[in-house]
Amino acid sequence: MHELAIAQGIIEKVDETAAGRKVRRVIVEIGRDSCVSAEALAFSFDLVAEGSAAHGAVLDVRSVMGTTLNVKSMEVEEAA
Amino acid sequence: MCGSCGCGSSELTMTNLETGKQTPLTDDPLEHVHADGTRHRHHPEPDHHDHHHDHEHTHDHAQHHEPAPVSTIDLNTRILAKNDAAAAQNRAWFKGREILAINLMSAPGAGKTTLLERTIASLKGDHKVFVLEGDQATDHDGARMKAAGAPAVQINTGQGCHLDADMLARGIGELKPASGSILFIENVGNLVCPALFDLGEARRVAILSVTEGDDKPLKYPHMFRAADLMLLNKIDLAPHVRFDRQRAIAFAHQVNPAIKVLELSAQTGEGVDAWLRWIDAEHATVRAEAFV
Repeated sequence: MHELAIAQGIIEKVDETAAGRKVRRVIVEIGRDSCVSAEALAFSFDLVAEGSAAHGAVLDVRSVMGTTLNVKSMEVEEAA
Repeated sequence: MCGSCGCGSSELTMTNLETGKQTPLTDDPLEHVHADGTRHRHHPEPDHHDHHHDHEHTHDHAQHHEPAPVSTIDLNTRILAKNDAAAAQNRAWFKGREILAINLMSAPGAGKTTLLERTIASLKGDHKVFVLEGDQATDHDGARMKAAGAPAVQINTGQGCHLDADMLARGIGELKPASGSILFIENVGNLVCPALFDLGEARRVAILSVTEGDDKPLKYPHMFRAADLMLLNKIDLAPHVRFDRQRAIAFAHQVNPAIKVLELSAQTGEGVDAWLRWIDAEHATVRAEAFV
């Protein structure tokens, strides 16, 4: 389950940048040759997101070429 | 492939080896499951999407309450940035101490531990040898290293299927390998995950034994692509199993033209001298590079 470690990496970055704002969506790029399964990653993401700014956020996985593993962007709710 | 959402066809597929028929494991060839669990269906026409995301279209409820303004923040960061930073720190730590750190990776049962026992016995007269053992559970291998004559620290990863750079950092903090020594890192037996995680090692060695399939370099290309050296182990058993050594080596070169290959038997000792010479040469290289 290396997806769990990948999910932790995503959440750490997102949580740190969110600075308390609620995260709606996280967009990641996962290379087809990276041996990371999108299904297992989504499962792990939900587990790790609990209690963080990304709790309940949608993980949007973009499949790309190569071995890329990037957090591309995220959508946060700004205080109205 | 859906251009608007970027999610390609699911990689989850079923192949019937009798007929060669390949089926993606989704109910409907036009429908797929998003990573967040929502399903959507693609129209055959690329420009007409029929999305049913429950996380979008919040504007439908705008008459009831004002939705919070949403802003997009660019992150563009490698997901494993933290691991990479820890690995860089380990690498610098090893370099400054002229330590050759070798990450040994293979499937379970390929003979990593037996090879290490013999290697320690052969090297310990001339070198200081340390071992960091990774397994999901038990300290059996750590105990074998200690019995073979090398100080060892065992890391049990529990559910984890690989060592990461932070685990290694904590392991070397405990093990305290001496300056100028050789550190063997025996990764968790797994041909997939360890290839993803840089530990800060100087060299990566993938071990393939003849009791496995000779097409493993093709089946697990990441591992063999990431390795500097492939050791083909248990060659004493080759006459008894259907394993084509030349084919295995050709496959390894196919995925990684730069990979070096040595054939040996950790059990009988055949071919082990060449492995020891390789270690010596790499150790000399690392020491020479320490102050460059």
